Amino acid sequence: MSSNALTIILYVILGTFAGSLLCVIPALHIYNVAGIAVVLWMGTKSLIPYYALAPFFMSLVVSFAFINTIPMTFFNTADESAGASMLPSTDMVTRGRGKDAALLTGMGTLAGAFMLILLYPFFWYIWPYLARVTGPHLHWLLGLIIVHYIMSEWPKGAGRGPTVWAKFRDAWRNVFAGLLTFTLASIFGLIFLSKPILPAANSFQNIMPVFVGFFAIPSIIQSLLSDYDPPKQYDSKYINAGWEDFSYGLLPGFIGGMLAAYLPAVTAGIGAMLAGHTTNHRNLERADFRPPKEEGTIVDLHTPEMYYRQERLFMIAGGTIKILYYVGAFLLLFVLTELTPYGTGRGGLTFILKPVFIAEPGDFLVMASTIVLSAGLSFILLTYLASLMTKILPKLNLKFIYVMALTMVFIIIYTMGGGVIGIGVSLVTACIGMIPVFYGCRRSHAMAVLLVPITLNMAGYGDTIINLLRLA
Amino acid sequence: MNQISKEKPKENSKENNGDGGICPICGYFVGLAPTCTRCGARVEKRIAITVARRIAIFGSILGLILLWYAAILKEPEAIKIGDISATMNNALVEVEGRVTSININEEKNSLKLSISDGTGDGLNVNAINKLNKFREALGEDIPAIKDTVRVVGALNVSQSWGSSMFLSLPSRLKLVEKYTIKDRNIGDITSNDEGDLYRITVAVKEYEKLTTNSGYVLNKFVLGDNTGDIEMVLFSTDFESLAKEVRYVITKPGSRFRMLVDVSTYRDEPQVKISDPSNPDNIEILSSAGGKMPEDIPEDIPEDLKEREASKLSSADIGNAYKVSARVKEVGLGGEGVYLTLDGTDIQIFISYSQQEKINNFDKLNDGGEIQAPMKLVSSDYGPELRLTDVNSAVVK
Repeated sequence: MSSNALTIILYVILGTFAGSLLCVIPALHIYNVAGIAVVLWMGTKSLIPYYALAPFFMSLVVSFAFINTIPMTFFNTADESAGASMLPSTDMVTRGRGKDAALLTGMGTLAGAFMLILLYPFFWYIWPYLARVTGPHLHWLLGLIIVHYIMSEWPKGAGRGPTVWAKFRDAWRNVFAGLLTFTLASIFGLIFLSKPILPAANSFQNIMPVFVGFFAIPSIIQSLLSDYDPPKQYDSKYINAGWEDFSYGLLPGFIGGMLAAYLPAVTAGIGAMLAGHTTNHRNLERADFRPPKEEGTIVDLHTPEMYYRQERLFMIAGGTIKILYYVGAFLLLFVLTELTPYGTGRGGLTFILKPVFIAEPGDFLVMASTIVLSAGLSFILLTYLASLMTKILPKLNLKFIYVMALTMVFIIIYTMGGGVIGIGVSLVTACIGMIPVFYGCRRSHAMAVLLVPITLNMAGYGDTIINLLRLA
Repeated sequence: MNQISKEKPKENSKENNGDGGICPICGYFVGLAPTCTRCGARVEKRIAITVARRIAIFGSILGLILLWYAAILKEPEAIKIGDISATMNNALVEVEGRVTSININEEKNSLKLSISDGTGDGLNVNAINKLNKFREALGEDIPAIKDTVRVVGALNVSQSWGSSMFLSLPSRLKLVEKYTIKDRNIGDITSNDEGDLYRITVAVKEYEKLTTNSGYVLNKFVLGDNTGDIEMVLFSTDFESLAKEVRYVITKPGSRFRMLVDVSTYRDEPQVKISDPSNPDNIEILSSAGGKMPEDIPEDIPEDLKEREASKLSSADIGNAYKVSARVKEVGLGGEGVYLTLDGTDIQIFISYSQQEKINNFDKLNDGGEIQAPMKLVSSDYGPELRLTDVNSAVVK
């Protein structure tokens, strides 16, 4: 084995452990870490040899896809992929089954890692044609996604209440909240992307304060305000799924993950929503009331087995979507074919590394190997961390952790994301990001911050918007 | 014995705020304690969720208005090209510099400028699919070579393409100073004129064709008028860009021309070079010493040029010309054109923007197309490099 190969393995292991350690911190996104790492690397290039740069960053992202499950599940802190697995995991934590939730998601993520390797022929021989064919049509495809996304929120409330106004409010509250969040995030995105107000020196991270505000800060505030107090957690020795669950869960995982990996501004949460229809079996078998089983009770609410399966499939698919979104999007940068000479890489890491790194033919196999090695290590770490969390969660001072995480996030924004202006920007987006939290609609409506400006720019209306907003 | 209240606490009610010593979360009786001993919830001075909701709504609307106002007031940072770094990717900045080259693609409706402020390698400014908009808005003020312009746009810093800027609106391109091209006598051109552009009326006094050790072909001229002489060197790529008739006449000493030239220096002596040789407006034949151009101008390339696959070329072939056919593996930007890396080799071909316009279907090369042309293998600092010896014969499949 050459010394270069050994060096790459060493950096992959280092990246996996560094990523795992940092990802446990609530609200710290791996793209914040990657941004800091790139700046450090530019200052001292001897830190990481150039040929190990991409494997190192890949292992950081792989470990994030796995270990991020810990803070998302146990600390209730969501990022932009939250919709992929968040709600059922929160529910499971409140029933003491946080480890179950973490391992189910982790197994889905592990299956997604192997899927990325097994999909090699698909990526190499079919994907370039798909990318080529869909490339000129992305603007209207994104337009359809926007329409479907908004309409899918329509209406969820049951319309219960003592007065007409109360019924109306109950029925339409989440719809209006969703529309308001979507509209405000769109306007923010149109202004911010047309004329960024952050200093030029660190503009490669100028979207960071925006995302921290939309997702991290509201999650922490929500946890602080709600006196989040998880019950005692069970340390299960089994994974709460059968093999057949994976055969059901991986298809929506693949569909949602590939949508998120390829379509600009479509995150894992949106991908999960689009693919989630395949796991929605509630119309096949409804819950119903049956004669009481226990003495002294009036009625038995029968929950069909389908509901529990749906919960498991959601977790598995969510894990798969996460790794396809974070890791797959970066891996596509290395699919260098005649049709895609520069790859089709997307996502935050591709954007962060673009100024310092160029993918070359032959890198794909190195990156695929990196994924296998890092995924294996990360999953083992996840199992131990999940067990550890079941033991220490009741003893942790969560409020202290949240306050520290919030402080750290603001320090990162101040130093890397534009100083006081960056903090101001993150506070504005935090206000918008809190609307879904307090009024009960999807958080990923905030992704309109990228979806709408990108769609309008692709459709050729970017200039018109700049003129309309008087930002020329 | 304390019991958990069965009634749901009402939000914002006095009871909910801890009055009566009841925990607002679990309903446990806590007396005067500020924190519930059962569930740890704060009993007094709690922030009502309604307040947080109002902060979210009003904060976001107020914040958006402030952001919009700040964005209107924001003046993009003025930077020097030499200061552009990787961390400035995506920054909206203002750069002022002199236009060093212009590439207009009518078919793609695009305008590409290269500008230099003397501090870096230059910056490519691209207005893709917006040429007509810029022409309509700027009219006479559309920049020409050597003009000083001020541009505002988003930087795109990438390892593959270097630094470039996206120019989205005509109002973000301002002509600061129009460069006036003056006539100049040869005797008045000094090394202080380096970087300037002049129109000269000259006769060709000497012509010599040289081949360097690395295989490059240089066309060396001595031009003169009644005030003095000056040297002009054209590399084969520039020479091939000239119109066919000009190529014939300019090699005949005694021929007279009116031409637009860039001034440079070589060993502290001034030199000139035809500015954008592919532009027929930049050189005019006043008289030909070689008589009328024959129907068939003898080409430099022998008709019996051997065909050779690019993958079979080796360093032993440096200096030799072949008809080369090769599949293009990768297209990369560099200087005033693109580098094509050939499939199965490390050999690259540099094709300037002016050459690209003469090659039919050149865009198809991005699709992994094939190029066939007479080429000569030369050595460069970065390994063997192929040079087109006759652009007009290049075929793209």
